[in-house]
Amino acid sequence: MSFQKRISSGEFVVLAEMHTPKGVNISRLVIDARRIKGRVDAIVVPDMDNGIMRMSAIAGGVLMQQQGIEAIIHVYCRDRNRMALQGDVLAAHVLGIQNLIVVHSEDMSNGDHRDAMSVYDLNEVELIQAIGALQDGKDMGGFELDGSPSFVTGCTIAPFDREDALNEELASAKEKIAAGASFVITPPVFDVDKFKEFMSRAKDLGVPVIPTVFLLKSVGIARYIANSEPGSHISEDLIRRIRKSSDRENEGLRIAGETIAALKEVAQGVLVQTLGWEHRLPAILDIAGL
Amino acid sequence: MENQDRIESNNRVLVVGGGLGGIRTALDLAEAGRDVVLVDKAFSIGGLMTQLDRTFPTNNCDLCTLSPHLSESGRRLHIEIQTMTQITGVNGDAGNFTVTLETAPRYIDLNRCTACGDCHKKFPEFVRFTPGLDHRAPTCMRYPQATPQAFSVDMEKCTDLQGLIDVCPAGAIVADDQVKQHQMACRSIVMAPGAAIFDPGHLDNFGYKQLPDVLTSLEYERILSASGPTAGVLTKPSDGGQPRKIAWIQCVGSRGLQKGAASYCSSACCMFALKEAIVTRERFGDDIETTIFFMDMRTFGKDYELYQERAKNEFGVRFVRCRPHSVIKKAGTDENVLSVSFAPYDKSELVTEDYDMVVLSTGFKIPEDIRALASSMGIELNGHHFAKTGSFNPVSTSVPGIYACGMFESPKDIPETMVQASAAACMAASNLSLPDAEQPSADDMQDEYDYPEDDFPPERDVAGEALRVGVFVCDCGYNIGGVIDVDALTEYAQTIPDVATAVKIGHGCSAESMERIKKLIVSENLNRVVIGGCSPRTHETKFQDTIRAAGLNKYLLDIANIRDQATWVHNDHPDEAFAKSKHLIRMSVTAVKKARPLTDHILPMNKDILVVGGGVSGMQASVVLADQGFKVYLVEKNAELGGVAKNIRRTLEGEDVGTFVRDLIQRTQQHDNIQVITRAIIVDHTGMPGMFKTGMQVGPQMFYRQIEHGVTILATGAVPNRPSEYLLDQHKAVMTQLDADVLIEDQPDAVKAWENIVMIQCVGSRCPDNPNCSRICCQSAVKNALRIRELNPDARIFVLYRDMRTYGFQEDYYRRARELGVTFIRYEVDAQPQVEAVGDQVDVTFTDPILGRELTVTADRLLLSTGFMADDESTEDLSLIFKLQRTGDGYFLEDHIKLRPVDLPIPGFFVAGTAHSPRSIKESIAQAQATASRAQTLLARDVINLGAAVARVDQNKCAACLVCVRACPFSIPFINAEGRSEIDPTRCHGCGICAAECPAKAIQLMQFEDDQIMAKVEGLFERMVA
Repeated sequence: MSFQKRISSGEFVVLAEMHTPKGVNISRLVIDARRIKGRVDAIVVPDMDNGIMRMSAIAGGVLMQQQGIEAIIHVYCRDRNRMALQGDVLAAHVLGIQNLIVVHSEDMSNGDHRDAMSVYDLNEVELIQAIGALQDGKDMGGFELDGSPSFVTGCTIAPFDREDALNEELASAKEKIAAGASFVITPPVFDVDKFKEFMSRAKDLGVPVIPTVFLLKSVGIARYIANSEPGSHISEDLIRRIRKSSDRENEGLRIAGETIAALKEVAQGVLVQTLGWEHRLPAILDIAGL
Repeated sequence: MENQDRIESNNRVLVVGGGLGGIRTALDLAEAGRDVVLVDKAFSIGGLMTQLDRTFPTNNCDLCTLSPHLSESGRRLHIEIQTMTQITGVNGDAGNFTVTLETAPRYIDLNRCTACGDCHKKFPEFVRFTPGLDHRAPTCMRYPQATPQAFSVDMEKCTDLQGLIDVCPAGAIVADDQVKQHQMACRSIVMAPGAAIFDPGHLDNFGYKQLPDVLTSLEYERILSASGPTAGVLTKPSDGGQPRKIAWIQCVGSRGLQKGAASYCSSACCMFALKEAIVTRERFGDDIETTIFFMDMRTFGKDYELYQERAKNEFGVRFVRCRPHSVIKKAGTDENVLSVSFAPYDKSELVTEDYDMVVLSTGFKIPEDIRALASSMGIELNGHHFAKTGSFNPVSTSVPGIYACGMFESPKDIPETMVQASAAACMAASNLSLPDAEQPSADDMQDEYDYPEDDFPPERDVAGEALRVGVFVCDCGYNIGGVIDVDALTEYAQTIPDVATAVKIGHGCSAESMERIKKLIVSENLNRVVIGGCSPRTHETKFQDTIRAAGLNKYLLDIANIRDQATWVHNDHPDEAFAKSKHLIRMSVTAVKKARPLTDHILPMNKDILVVGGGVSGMQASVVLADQGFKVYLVEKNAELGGVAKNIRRTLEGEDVGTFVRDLIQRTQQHDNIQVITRAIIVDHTGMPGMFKTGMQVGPQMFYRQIEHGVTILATGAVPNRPSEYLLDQHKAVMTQLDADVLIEDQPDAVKAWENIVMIQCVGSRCPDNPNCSRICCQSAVKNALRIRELNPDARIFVLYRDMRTYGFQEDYYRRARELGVTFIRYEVDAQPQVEAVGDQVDVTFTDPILGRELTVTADRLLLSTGFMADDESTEDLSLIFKLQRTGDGYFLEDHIKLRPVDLPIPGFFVAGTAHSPRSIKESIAQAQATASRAQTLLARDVINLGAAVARVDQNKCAACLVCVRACPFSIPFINAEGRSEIDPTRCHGCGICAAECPAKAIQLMQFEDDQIMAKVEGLFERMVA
């Protein structure tokens, strides 16, 4: 069943994130993807939205399709103007990619090309609208298309630590949904109870909400996120759990797997983020019972 | 042609002084492919350390660890050693010095002398030996493993020149040897001339020289030493009896305590005395009582505080805090008893106790000749005649291109000397052109990098040859020859089947003996070699190179460790030791017969460097390496570079830390060869030296990237301690010294209003949670006290301390603070000061030990000297990822605390700064430069040698049972397309676990194959079978 069908029929979807290489050596990407073929519903291929120059997501998405794995690619506003964005979206469709996520883009100062020029011709809502318009057969100039694409388009919610920030994020998500987004990806979940509280608010969005599950690779990473993202709800107990473990790497995998299992009751899917340790995805899915 | 170029080029470093520091500098430079000339005015190199018995804090004999390095230095092509040589003039500037050297006549040709000792046996009166206590002195060599291994003649005393010439079997006597003067061009100079020991002879109150049982600590060291005058038997020089009570008197010649004493602290003497007391108690237990008379115990080094605790609690060394007054012969008795009078610090009367022996812990000073030499070179000296350096340039003298290290820079112990020596090597190399830049062609480059294979003849194919084993038995001076009859052992070896020749070889590791081994291999057509000598751990490579140079594959060698395993451990049972030596030799012969020629696996070397931590140490290491042309990845966890130093304003000496750190950050960020990666957290690591791969998560977006690098430098720092004690962070009058440092600089007007200030030392240090000394807090307190007094001369400052540890020249500032009226009051660890809030002020209550009653000071400000803590969570994380060890208090544990202070146990890993232990900015910078130097010794190689010890699968025997796949801790074996296990030799670590587990015996570990081990065992039991 395709991602679109699963999500629209309310079934639990399992997504995994895989990055394109910085370079043209795609062997790791392909090998890692093959390992989880049939165990996930789609692979999410981020683009350069995190500010690191790399092979663009369209090529990554196509590679996934070639392996027989459905792809979801990121689109974002920092690097391309409306011409380039629309052109790429059309290209993606022609190359067989059926799913997009419109994502926030990292500030250029946090990237690896700090002198690069930022574009922001469109914002996220305008981009979602533009994608919708292309599906209706019109570009942003109002000109008719010779053949129109079709996509499932998602959007994201940024991390929040306080009530007012949450309200802002929910309002912005509503805008994106009104513009045409049909699912929402949330920031990483480390405390399922806290996520349940969030879900009681997010129900109103009326579209499937897919939480991110982030693999904690070390105490250092856990500590970093706990300090830099107060909204992440990484507790001292969780850090202690990894520290006390005789095999910290495995403990991280277990935490991710257990979180996925717990989220099955709460959300309509998960996006597993392993950032560089994609070869450990099968182990996480094993623990999650998927 | 090419050699000619090298001789004419000035692309070399001159190292002055062949002590421990100079040797380290020379070895570092040589291993990094640079040419070095090492000069020493003595007959052999080695300096002061060769006279020590044992070294703190490990209490092992480090001569055995050090001596292979010394002879290694003789072996290196890049080092030229000139002994009995001094500088008489220096011209030119950095990058282009011309040095005039003068070599005194030795009257012995170094190339011919075999150190047989015949000359000394016949004419002991004019063959020179170590002066002083060493009246036994069997040879003129300062210690048995001297480099160069040769004698020297005192021509003034020589009365029978012809007799001397005749007695020398090697014809090495050069009767008409002259003083030789020659000039040499070099680009940098490293001064490592060391220091002299304070001579207490002129002090009338300690009776040194008048009373035979009053010794200096070095003399005591010689008495304890197995190679010393009493062969290690502890006796009183007066009557030869064993002492029952020994006293150590600290600070003799230091801290301005006696007439003519230096005003600085000599830094190393406290540990020196502790070590001697511990070693004495270790050997004699309760038979000897040990007492140390001291003012402050300055155990400020890494884990030194624990060493002091052990001395007190485990070994029962007694400590008396006092000012010693005098040592006299006890009146009214003929016995040799010494009366020691002293004034306890908390009493005003003089107390007298009796001792059998008194050891004066004498300090260090720079002797006249070194001062004169330094002045003639234009090197600016400080008020104490040490080379003047700065906090931000710890090894740079006032003359560009001339660097200083070790004692000549300031009094210090061996680890700090080793650090500075490597740092000086790093800085000296910066004036040289890069090896590959100078010699661009491939051939030349290999020559420059000194890859030994190139110097060796082609390997002889020994397959099919009849076995011809050569056995070479060392006597190792007294070590083997003194216990067993080496001649008889050699005769026995000759009778073992397949032994073609067995030869007694003296010191097998000396250059002469190795040359002889080489010649015998060729002339006797040997195809297997056994060395009956010492540990393969220290000497295997050396002998492997020797037989390789004779055309044999280096794995056709076996070493029988008859020294460590027979003559050392059974030295009191010579007959049994002899029998065991025979067994060991026979085992080696039977094993070596099964040895096969093996090839080392090699891989290209990745020359990039990963530096973890962007504080002062990490940036400094990065910048010096990047300046040398290396590509550096500097990874920092925080968003900005700078580390703890960013929050420090001034050093004790008054230097501006802020400007320095800002400049360093700028240089780091703008350097073309440095890639700075901030907000990066390391998550995984694989590989081996020369081909590491480290994965990290970077930035808020947690981008994962892997960096490939050849070496890793850890400079992850420590965290300023902030314990919740004494109302810190609860009352606004209470702050840390670090907070105060900023306030004094940034808000001087506010500080001027402080009238009463109390400082408490050792807050959060030297306590159960953090048992070690934080090293920097005493100087921080003195620094802030002086600055506060400068702003407000009427301020009343009380410093409550346990021991003031203002080592080295910091003592000057401590004295200045006392002169200015800063009050220093001791508190006992079980009587901590009490602090109570009183409005905007705090009441500090403490016991004054001299008045013997409680005092209360109402303080405007209470400054806590809080020191450093290791960031336990993050060093633990990194230690697990990099598989490194840590000390009990969370600092990274170095490979050898004494001799390899910045090398970590895993090759290719180095540590700098407060990740090693608490230390000042100056000491951190020296360590950073040292790691850069040590890193270059690895990076100079073009290939990584993986050795030959790798597991190999016999494809015919493998049943693909997967046991090896599961057993391998590194996940190397895999099942190949043919369905058999396969092991990649380039990834195999050679641990042998798979070979042991394989049920089909299909896996063999090369170099340790079953048939070799079995042959060894058979060799052992042969006699019983027969």
